[in-house]
Amino acid sequence: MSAYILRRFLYAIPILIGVNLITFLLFFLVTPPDDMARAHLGHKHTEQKDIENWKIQRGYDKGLFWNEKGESLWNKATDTIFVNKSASLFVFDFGVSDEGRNIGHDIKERMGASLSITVPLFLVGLILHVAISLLVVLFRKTYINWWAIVICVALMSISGLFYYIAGQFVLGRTFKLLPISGYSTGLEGVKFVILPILCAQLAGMGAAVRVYTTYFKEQMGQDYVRTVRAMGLSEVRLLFTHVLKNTMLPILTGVVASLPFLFIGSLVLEAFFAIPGLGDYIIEAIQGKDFAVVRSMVFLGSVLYIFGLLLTDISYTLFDPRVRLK
Amino acid sequence: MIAAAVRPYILFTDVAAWSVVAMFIAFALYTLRKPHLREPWRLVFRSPMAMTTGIVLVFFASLGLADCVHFQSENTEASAEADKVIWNNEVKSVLDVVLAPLLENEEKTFSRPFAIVALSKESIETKEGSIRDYPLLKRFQTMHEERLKSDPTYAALSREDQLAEFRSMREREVRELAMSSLMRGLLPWVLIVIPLLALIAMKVERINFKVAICRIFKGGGDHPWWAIAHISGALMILFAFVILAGDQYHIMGTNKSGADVLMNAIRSIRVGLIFGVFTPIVMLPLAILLGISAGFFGGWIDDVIQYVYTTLNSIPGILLIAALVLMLDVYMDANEDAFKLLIDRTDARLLALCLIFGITGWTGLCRLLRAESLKLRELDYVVAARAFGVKNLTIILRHILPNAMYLVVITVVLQFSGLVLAEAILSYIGIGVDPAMVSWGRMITRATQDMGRDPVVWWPLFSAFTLMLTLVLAANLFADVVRDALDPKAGAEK
Repeated sequence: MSAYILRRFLYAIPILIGVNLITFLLFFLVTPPDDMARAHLGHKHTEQKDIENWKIQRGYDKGLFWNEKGESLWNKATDTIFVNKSASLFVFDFGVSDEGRNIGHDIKERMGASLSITVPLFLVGLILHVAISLLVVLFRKTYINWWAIVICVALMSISGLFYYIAGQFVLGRTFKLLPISGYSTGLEGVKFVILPILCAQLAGMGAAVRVYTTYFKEQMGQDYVRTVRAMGLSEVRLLFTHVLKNTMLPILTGVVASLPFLFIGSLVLEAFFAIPGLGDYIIEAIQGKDFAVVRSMVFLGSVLYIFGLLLTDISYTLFDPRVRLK
Repeated sequence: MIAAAVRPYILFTDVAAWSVVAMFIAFALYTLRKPHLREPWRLVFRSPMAMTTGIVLVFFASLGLADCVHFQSENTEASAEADKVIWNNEVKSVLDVVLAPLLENEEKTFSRPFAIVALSKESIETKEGSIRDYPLLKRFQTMHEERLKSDPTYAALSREDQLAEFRSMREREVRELAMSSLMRGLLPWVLIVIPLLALIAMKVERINFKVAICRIFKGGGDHPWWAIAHISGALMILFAFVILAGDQYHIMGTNKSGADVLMNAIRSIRVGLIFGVFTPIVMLPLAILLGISAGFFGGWIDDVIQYVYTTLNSIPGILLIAALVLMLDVYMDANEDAFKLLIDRTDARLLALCLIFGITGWTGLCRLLRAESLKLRELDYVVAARAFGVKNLTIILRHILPNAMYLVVITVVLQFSGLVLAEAILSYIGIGVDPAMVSWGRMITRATQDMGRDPVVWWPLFSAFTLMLTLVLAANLFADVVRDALDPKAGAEK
């Protein structure tokens, strides 16, 4: 097992290098530092020396891959934009945002807010989706099945935004049960978190239940189901014990891979309910054209994705004893 | 209508939309000629659900395509002065011409659906002096002024009674409109659609005219003729109502700038359709080329392609898209003179969004095609072809590609609804289409602010969502039937 993990880790390195290189090329070739400076400082009345100042302050004045003004050969090769901005991401040194704030510090601060929404959402969601799908499959020979599918497709077809807007309007404004938006830590923060989670659950339910019912129905065609029924087991016991265990594999593929992304939070959710998490951080960076932050978050996202893939493969061995990872 | 000269104005997205139509026709002709590819589609044509939703989709598509033919009209005064042809800066589409009655009735600001007065009070001059009351909308203001001059009994009424007169007129007019749209819709339905459908039924099911009409109105036969006929009829009546009533009332009220909300919602169909259909088409060449190469050739080609798509997949989609859109903004700012007219800029941004999504989204389909090519490579006739020395490219084009096509169709059809929904979310975050462009995403983003008003302005949100929901729901249901028909792994329970 540890050999496998080591091998996966080593395989991840060229991928991360590739990601790093691609994002670097994208960011700095398509938009050279001059254009970035102009986007920040505005177009009219910016003179070349303002642009130079802006670049020097943020370290964009050095060459992309090769620094002519360096003192030694080592300096010329390493004191470049590539090494300073991109390669340093490998050691999780995110550097400073274009506004001047320490990115690493901001990430640590905002992570908690994102997690406080995504973790309950994930746990409640998983239990709810599995339970509802199993119930639908239990009644699959009746008209409930058809209605469930139609309702799921309808729920899926409604944009997520509608659930947020409607939820905010109905529960927040009309009935005044919950605050419309905002966030605070500690026990008073609970009431701020309920509405986003509720809306997000409704939004995600249609698609998830539909996919899970497909998985469960596939299982019902297997031989062991017939055997267990012949042995006299009740339908409920069959579903909730045996079929569930066997379907864990495909469900896990989707679920475990999304675990690392819990840190980033949902962009739209945080924008809507004014939650100061990492998703909100990204949106602010996009709207403020803060390239440094967007770069860092892209790299962080890639690391989390690869970590998620690794977790998925390891969880296979836990749930399916036939799988052996070499 | 248009008396002056007119010249066509070609936008990039128009070219994209029509080339998609051409590709679709080519694909249909190719598929229907080969019996083994034609078989699965028989199931689709026989399903009432697929045919009903299909007609709805065709209806949306025709509205969208009508919006994809643009032209500029001549500015007659400026031309007369300058002694050569000067064109208006405003670019219109064929759909704008059809919806002209809705376009021309612009109010000043908000008004409710089917309203006579605007939403908020203003100072109005009456014979009693200046009071604060709801001002009449443009059409009713003109009628009011004319009646003041011609009808002395009306002029003597108080403002309350005058408004009451308008309300009873509205009741009468709406009833008349309903009746006339019923007839205006049913007439072409009975004269054109029914005979056409009957002819098709006669040819397809080899029956005579009388039996065809019977099947259309009572049901029966292998194909859902009843469903097709009646959904077409309903849509035609609806369309007639929108055009007729839209001339006299704002069916879905007006928004903050006074424009008809329903008209904006209909004009947004174009953006949704282009984004949902053109984007998967963009990703097809990359996905097909790389996926089939990786699966068929194997070896180092496979390793390289797997590395490329794993790396690309690692970058979180939304972040990559956000980064690319940021760069697009900077690029467009830096090269302002390339985009002279506003419509060129908004159009370029929509096209760039499609390209960005297409280039970041090809990895999923690529993986599927790779797995399928690996499987198809080991089939008997493919192995035999290789043994005979048939060239690789011929094998791929003749055996691998047609058999893997079902994955392509399923992916394209399934992605459509997701993309239409994604456009709304992107606009909300701020990386969607240009703010000057009319789209459902933009309408919803603005509507979230409008909902905070008092009284609540719910109609822009409602119309954008209803139209979007109809399109996405129809697409989802259609996609389900297509997927069940085309996918050989339809899991059957014993």
